[in-house]
Order: sequence, then C-alpha cells, then structure tokens
Amino acid sequence: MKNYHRFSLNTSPQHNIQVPLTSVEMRRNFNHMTKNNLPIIIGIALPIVFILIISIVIFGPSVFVKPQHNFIYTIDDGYNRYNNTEYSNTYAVENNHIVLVPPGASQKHILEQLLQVPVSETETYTPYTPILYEYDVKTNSSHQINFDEAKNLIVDPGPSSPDGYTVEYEYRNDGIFGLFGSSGNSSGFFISKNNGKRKLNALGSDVYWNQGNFKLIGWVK
Amino acid sequence: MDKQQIISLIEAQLAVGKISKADLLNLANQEAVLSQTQSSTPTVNSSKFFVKEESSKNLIRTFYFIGAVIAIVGVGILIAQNWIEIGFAGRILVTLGISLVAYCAGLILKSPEQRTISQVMFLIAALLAPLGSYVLLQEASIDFGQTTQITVACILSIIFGTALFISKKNILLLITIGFLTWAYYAIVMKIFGFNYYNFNSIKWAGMLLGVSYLFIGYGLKSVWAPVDASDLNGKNIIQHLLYGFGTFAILTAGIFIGGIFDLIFIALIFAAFYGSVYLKSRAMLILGALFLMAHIIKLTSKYFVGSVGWPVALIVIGFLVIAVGYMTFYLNKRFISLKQG
Repeated sequence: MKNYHRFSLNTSPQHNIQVPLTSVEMRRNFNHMTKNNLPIIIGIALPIVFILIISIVIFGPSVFVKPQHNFIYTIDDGYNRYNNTEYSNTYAVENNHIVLVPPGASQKHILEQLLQVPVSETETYTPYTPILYEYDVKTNSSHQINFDEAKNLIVDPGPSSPDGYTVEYEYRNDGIFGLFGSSGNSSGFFISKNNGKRKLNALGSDVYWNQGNFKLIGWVK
Repeated sequence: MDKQQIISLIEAQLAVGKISKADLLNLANQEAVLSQTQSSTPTVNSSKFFVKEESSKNLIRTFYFIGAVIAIVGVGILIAQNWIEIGFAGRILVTLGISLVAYCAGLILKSPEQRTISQVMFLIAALLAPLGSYVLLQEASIDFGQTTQITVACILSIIFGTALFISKKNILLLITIGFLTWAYYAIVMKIFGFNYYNFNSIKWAGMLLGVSYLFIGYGLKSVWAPVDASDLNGKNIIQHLLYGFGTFAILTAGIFIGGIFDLIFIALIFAAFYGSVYLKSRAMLILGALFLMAHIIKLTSKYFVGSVGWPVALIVIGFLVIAVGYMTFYLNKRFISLKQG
C-alpha cells in the first residue's frame, strides 16, 4: 500500500488531494514516529530484555550440564528403623566396591537401652537394610537395585563424580507468600558443576524433610 | 502572518517535536469548552458553570466506582459464604460469567458519554477475571503455581490489551500494565526463585520495572493522542499514576539494597525531585520527599547514633525533616502547582 500526503485545499473532506510521499519524506515520517514512540518502546523493551538476559545468565550454563556417571544412593525415611533409632546396616565403598556395614556397638547399645533387652537374644531385631537406588543421569530416572548387583559395580566414593559433578539439595521458595507462585515447588536435589545445574526430577521435590536422609554412596565408573 | 503561515509554523513545530498533538488538542478543547459554556449560558459566569458541570460529572463517576466496588465485594462475599452451596457452575457464573458480561458491556458502550461506565465495566471484568481463573483451575485440579500464573497473566494481558486496542479506554492501559506486571514478577520469581540469597535480584527487577513505568508514562500521550478534554484528563491521571508507581518501585527497591547503594540512593532521590519538576508530577515529588526523610532517618540511625547519641540524632533528624518538608512545599508551589494550574 502506498503512503500518501493528505492535505486539503478546501475545508470539505471530499476535496482532499492525495500525493504519493517521496522516500525522503517517508524516512522523515518514520524517524519522527520512532522518535515519538521511543519512550514507550524503551518502557516495554526494558523488562523483556532484563528477563532475556537473566535467563541466559542463569539457564545458559545449565545447557552444558552433561554428567556421564550414574550414582548409587539411599533415601532412608526413618520409619523402617526400630523406634527411629540408628540400628541399621549402612553402605560404604571399599576398594571401589560397595560393601554392607552392620550396625556398630554404639548403635546396638542405644537400641538395647531403649528396648531394655539384649539385641542378640531375639531375631526380631535384625538391623534394617536401606534400599539401594541407581540414578541414571542421562535419562533423569531412578531405579531400585539389590545389593548383589551393586557390589559388582566399580564405584568412586566421591563426594564429587569423576567428571566433577556434585549432588546437593536446594531449598527454593517460589513467590512471596504464594503471590507469584506456590511455595517450595522447585525445591529439590540438583546435580551441578561450576554455575550450571540440573534438577534431579526422579528424586522428587517433596523430599524436603527427607533431604538429611539422602545418602550418596558413590559414582558408578 | 496569515492563516497558512501559522498552520505551516505549527506543522514545522509538530515535526520537530517542540509541540505535541496533545498540546494542540488541549488548547482546542479548552477553547471549545469555554465557547460552549459561553454560548449556552451567556448571562452566567462561564467558569463557575464549567466548575459546576465538572463537579457533577465527578460525582457521577464517583457513584459508578462506588457501585463497582460494592458489586465486587458482593461477589466476594457471595463466593466466600456459599462456596460449597453454589457449586462449580455457580462459582464460575459469578466470577468468570460476570467478568465476561462486564467485558462485553465495556466493549459495547462506545459513545463518549458512556466512557466512564464503560471503564467501570472493564474494571469489574479485570478484577473478577483472575478470581474466575483461579476458581476454574482449582476445579480442574491445576496448581496455581508459577507456570500457571505466567500463562493466566499473559492470557489476561492479551485479552485486555485487545480491548485497549479496540476501544482505547484509558483504564485498559492500567489494567493491561497490571496483568503484564503480574506476568513479569511471576517470570522473575520462576527464574530466580525466592530466598534470602537472591532477594537483591528481586529488588533490581522491581527497580527496572519502575523505570519502565516512567518511560511508558512519559511516552503515553505522544503515541496515543487524547480525543477530547475528558480523555485528556483521563490520560493525565494515568500518566501521573504511572509516574507515581514508577517512582515508588524505584525508591522502594533502592532503599532496601543498602551498602554502597546508600550513597547512590541519595542521587536517585534528587533525580526524583528533578523529575517531579520536569514532568510536573506531584506524586513523584511527595514520594521523593518521603523517601528522603526515610533515608535521613536510616543513615542517621546507622552511622551517627553511635557517635552523637539518640537525643542529638533526633534533633538533627527533626530539623532535616522540616527542611525537606519546606523544600517540597517550595518546589510544589514554584514549579508544579503553577504549571499544572
């Protein structure tokens, strides 16, 4: 569509004469329009540019988060242990292999004090053995494995993976009293290296009270 | 200078931006209003008549807005008291249903005489729409979390932005900016999260939003020329509200940043004073004065109370506050009231 000057030689609108604009005039009009609209353009662009920049700064490094090693872990919810005592088997890494460690004398003593009966006298009080899980960092999924499978794996005890990644819990309260979003829905475990991090979705975001009981056993080599 | 020369001169001044369309319309409308009042009441003092007519219009507008507030409070109480009894259909009907009807009514009421009632309808629609969205999403068991809030705020911005594009009502600009602000904060919270360590990021985001408000307020009338005196009045109100919100956002965020920014904040306050004179904004002046007083109290209690003690500090604060009060009064009288009047 062509641009026209519209000017009147007569007061009546029927007598308007339309003359095509020259390129110089069109450029002048455009510059004038841009100049007039500049404050509004800046006003609208500022928040958008801000969001774009902080998104790049915050989420940019996460693009390069590509861990290569799965990890073995346990999440102990506490209910499976006798009266919430520490009478439990644990896992350790010895010579790059996972081994089962029975409860120590002090743990046995605590349980005996609590139950007021020698632990060795009854078979009911066999120590609890935490469930082992393997987290697949490539598919962001987790599955249960038994000890026989786990003990054959070659494992690095960490806490960082051989390629430099760590796993930690991060508490995030999103929004002010839920005003701009519900609280705590992006809290959870993250795998991170330098400034980049990725949420470990399979560990769930509702494990806040559980975070202390997450135990990383080692990284599968 | 003949008529054609005067028109050419005005065109040239318009082209270089020395005067705006708003200035011309303002001038033309003032003349029109005066000539109208003079011709209709030749024996009555025209300015008195004009004041009377304006005050009766203001009274009608006040009733419209009081009615809108009562209607919205009524909806709120109806939902709160009968949440279970009215069922899903009832809840949707009194929120989204009324919102939709009010939105359509706002669009249908087009004539200049219906401008105020149309804006009241849009206001009702805008206040009920988020509530209705919440009710709908709750019913669908969708968490009203950040992603949902971003989506809802963006959709409502588009809906009311479209109405703004079609009907050009002033209130729609504020409503659209309101929903966009909601979307902006929801996105910022989504990106940053909200905890003690990144609270400063939220403050910077707020400050930037304030700057954005100032720019939008400043450019408002040059892109959106008022059509008559009443519209110009409405645009002036929106413009000064944006200046006020912008200044409030910048200064509120700035006063909480602390550290070396305590010094930069003084410059910001004086920028607000300068801006208030430049933009003829009384809201900016008052906010600048209030924040200067708050900053004086903050700095005195932080840095000087230990050395001079509270009694001396209070005396100094008292006199400084009086000085700020006088300066505000002087600036308002000398530069703002006169220009606005």
